[in-house]
Amino acid sequence: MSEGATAPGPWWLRNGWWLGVPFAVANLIAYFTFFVKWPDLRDHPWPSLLIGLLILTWIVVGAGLAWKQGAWLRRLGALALGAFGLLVSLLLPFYVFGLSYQVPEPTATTEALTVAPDFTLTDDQGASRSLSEFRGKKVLIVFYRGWW
Amino acid sequence: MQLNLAELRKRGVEVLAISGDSPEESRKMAESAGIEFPLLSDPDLTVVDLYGLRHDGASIDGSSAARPATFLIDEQGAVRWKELTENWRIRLRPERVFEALDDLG
Repeated sequence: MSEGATAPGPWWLRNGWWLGVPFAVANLIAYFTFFVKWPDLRDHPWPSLLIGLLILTWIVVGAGLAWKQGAWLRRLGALALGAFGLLVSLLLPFYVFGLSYQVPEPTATTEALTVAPDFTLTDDQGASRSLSEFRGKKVLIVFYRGWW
Repeated sequence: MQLNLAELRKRGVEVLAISGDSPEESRKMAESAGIEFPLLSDPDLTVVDLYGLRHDGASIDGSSAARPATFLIDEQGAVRWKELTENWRIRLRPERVFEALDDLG
């Protein structure tokens, strides 16, 4: 097919498909900066995943149309940008369905705990704190991953 | 958890959080997130190991970290309830802690 021949697809898809790539990046950033503020959306990120899927469809269909339009430079661009868009689009599903389940099985040590082992550690104010100072009170001990 | 701190304290529960972060990193996090309970620093993961919670290679740089876990300790120091998530993205819901407290009576 020669360039300029009746190109397939609506114009916004034909010429604007590359916009899907920044949208995909924005969607990824939006999950970590915006959607995480609501526990329900953080734990069950279906809006983010659905938007991501729509954007990915946009990118794949658009890149396919650009590929069909022929000129090698256009094809190369479509391939590179399409591949990048695909990669970005897959990051969130990978994080949600893969990475976040990377947690070891509970250990026998943890399972066997009936008495909380005492400890003394330094707190965020530089003060030394022990579990034993809280004897006579209920204590919720929260272990968290911390900064990576 | 910070949001429910007042409610927890009203029910006689103190909150202690432990991670492998340095006190300096914890201080920054406490300030930026407005956390009012102690963030304890366990850089060698000694206490993390004591509770069997080491997650090898958990960090991006390949070092180990604590797996997320929560323990409810009673007035006598006994472990009365624990929750070990299988998905570290999904954090503990305060309601679960209050349910556990209700069960304790």
